[in-house]
Amino acid sequence: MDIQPLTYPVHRGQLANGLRVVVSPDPWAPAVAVNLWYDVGSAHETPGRTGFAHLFEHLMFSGSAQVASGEHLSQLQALGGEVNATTSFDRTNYFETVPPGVTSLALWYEADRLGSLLTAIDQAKLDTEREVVKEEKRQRYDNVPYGDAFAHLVELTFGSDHPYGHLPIGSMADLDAASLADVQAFFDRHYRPGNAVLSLAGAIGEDEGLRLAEDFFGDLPANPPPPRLTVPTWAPIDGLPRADLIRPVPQEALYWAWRVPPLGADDHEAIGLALSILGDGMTARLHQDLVRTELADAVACSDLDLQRGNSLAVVSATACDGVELERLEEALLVVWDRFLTEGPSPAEIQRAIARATRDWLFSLASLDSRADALSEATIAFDDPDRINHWLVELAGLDIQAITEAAYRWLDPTHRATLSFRKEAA
Amino acid sequence: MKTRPEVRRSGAWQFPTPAVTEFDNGLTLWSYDLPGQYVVSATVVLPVPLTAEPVTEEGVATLAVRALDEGTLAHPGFAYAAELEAIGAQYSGWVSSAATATQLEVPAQWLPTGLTLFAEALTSPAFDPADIDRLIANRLAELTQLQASGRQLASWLIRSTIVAAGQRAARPVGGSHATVAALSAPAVRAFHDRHYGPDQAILVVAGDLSGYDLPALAETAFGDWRRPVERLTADLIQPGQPQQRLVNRPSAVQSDIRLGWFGLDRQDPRFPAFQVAAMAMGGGFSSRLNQVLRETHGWTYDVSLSNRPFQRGGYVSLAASTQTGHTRDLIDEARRLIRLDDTFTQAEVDDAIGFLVSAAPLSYATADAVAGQAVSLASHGLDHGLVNDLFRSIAEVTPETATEVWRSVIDPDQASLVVLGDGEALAEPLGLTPEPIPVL
Repeated sequence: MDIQPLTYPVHRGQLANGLRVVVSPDPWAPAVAVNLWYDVGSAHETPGRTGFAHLFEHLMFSGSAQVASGEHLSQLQALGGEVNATTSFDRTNYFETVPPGVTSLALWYEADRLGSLLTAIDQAKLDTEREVVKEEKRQRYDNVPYGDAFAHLVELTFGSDHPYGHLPIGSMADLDAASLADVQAFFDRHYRPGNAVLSLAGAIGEDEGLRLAEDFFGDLPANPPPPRLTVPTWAPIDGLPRADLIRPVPQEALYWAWRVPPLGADDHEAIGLALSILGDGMTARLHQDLVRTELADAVACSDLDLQRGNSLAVVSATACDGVELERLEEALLVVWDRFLTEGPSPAEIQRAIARATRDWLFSLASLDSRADALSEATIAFDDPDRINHWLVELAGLDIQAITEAAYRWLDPTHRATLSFRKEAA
Repeated sequence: MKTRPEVRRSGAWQFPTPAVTEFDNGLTLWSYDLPGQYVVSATVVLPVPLTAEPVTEEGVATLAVRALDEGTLAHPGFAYAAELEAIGAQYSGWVSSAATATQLEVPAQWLPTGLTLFAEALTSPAFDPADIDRLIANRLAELTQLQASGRQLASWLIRSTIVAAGQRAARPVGGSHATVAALSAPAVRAFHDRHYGPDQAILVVAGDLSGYDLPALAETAFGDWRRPVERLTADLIQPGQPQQRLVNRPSAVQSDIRLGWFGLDRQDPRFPAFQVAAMAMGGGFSSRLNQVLRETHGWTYDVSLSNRPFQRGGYVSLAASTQTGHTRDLIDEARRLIRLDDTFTQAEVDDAIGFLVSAAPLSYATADAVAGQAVSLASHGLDHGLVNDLFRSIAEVTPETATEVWRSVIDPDQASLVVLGDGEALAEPLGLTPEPIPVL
């Protein structure tokens, strides 16, 4: 398959205070996406303080020296912009997509809170946002079937003391314990220009983008950040750890998880292709051998693309009505062993690359995702241009590379297992 | 410290106008050339309303649309999926009250092959009984999952109470346990034979089409499609009687709350003012509902007001979730806010108009989004120019017109209420008798 590099323009700069800047002009875009990516996530939290990076993200909308609480969101929305932020294991990203004439204001809001957030935070705001975050946890995790699956998977795979051993949403007890002093310390430690990447994509020129970054962020003190958090790479899981949960779920479900190489490490992309060949689409091995045979109602494979030490790969399957999980697990093992033994076919690789091409082009089609991809490539690879050549890199992987990576990292004798079973009737 | 920069307003913006081509088999092409959008979305909208299903075969329209990529006469079994996947194409299809939509998304470089394969699925699906039986089992599992998800079930229940009982729209689009379990491959084939044809169908294509003669490509792929079909008019949806329902979900740690009303459609002259009013009440961060329920009280992560037009009338629903102990407080406060004792202010209306109009170029910046809006218009038999007419009207809305239309459409005392949560704990504060989760 002939895969050519993409041609999104990518320009880099760095301010004296350490802020990295990426600008990607797009002559057809009607808007500008601003993405400010801080290299801090739940992996940076300390025991007893889980959920803090995410709670902090909420507080970033509480105002700053020149900005009233909630104004950043309200004002940009009223001007036709979209604003949000998310927190994951590795990072916290803040993003705005705005009409071209509003770009300066979006940057000013971001710079004002990076320069002066702590002047605006008080106990009342912390208390209200804490309640909002607890409702978020109930809504997204505690009140949905299988909602605690990933909390168990990361703990089984890494152990609760590992930086990736808990989810960004944290625990209710830790959220209750968060104090204003914690807010202050977290901001001081992590929210520094040198710990962030600012990406601008869309209706903005190279020079204009770099100049605006300098205008709004150039005066902020450097305040060099601590060294980047690194985590040792662990060997695959030993001892087949397992958790079998009894829950009022609509269908019984099975999950397997592995420690795999992190984003940017050898084998990471090959593992991604292997998981796609196994789990994505109607021709995927698991669809053919578990879904078409009516053992599983649905299957999925994914890699969380974690950045430090290891990432986490997961395969999941929900059992068809009347199918015992043991039988499903045996069938899964057969599919998996066969793949590890024989490897993928050339046609399977071609389909996986064609799928990745569509998914990647679809993602880059929206400005906010494009700016986010530029920030991630800068932090994880020191190479924002990777958004253009990633597919070429993928297309260079052959049968041997995929087979060997799967054999090294997706061995079912080195997995963790989680199951959801119904209560006996 | 920098001072606040000035904002420069953008010039007028127009939703793109498609190039329209009519083919002699009755198919019409709406083609949106969007440079830089490298995944092309192609959708065939069939004017097949949900009421085309025989009453005893509800769900057959959904099964037919889902089974199209399960194999064709030329590529039986999963050979068809393999052909699609080899060019990175993805098929999807769905059914609404007014129409059936079938869609292929494909990287622009592989569009010609994609269109040919797309036409193959529409015109000559295999409908292998083994595949249909599996899709029936999938649909039954989907209903089981729906019954277990508080958010999804609450949204479905409020929708079913907003429309009159007995109408097709008051029952699940994809069919219920009883009707789906009775379906079979011959029923799916018969439905396809009766309704899948080019007459009055619209092919919406959006993406970077540079280098392509799209009418010629569409002619090559769909020109031979000839099948006489029945074309039915969709029944107009009628409003239901307000209901108050507490549905018991004993394991719930949070209540899923919905308030609902019968609303307006896009052809109602009051629709633009209602859009502005709904935005000011529950659309964005600065909306009244969000400011009070989330930002002041911290009762909910997410409160929203949906405003979805049907072909005639519409569906308006307030959605929020909160812990059991705050359920009554949240409902009371929401009811107080929607009573609109204080009229909408000029600032609120300006913000809402800005949100709706200024955000349009961003909202429609991708091929996917342009296609989504165009498909929605085509599904409702509306002209592709309607979006721009609506934007012009929105810009003229005043606090008086927004307030008036809100009060005329949203009667707080005529709201339907659905609460899904801990029935035992909620029965007394809500004054409602808990009912079990209904079997769909």
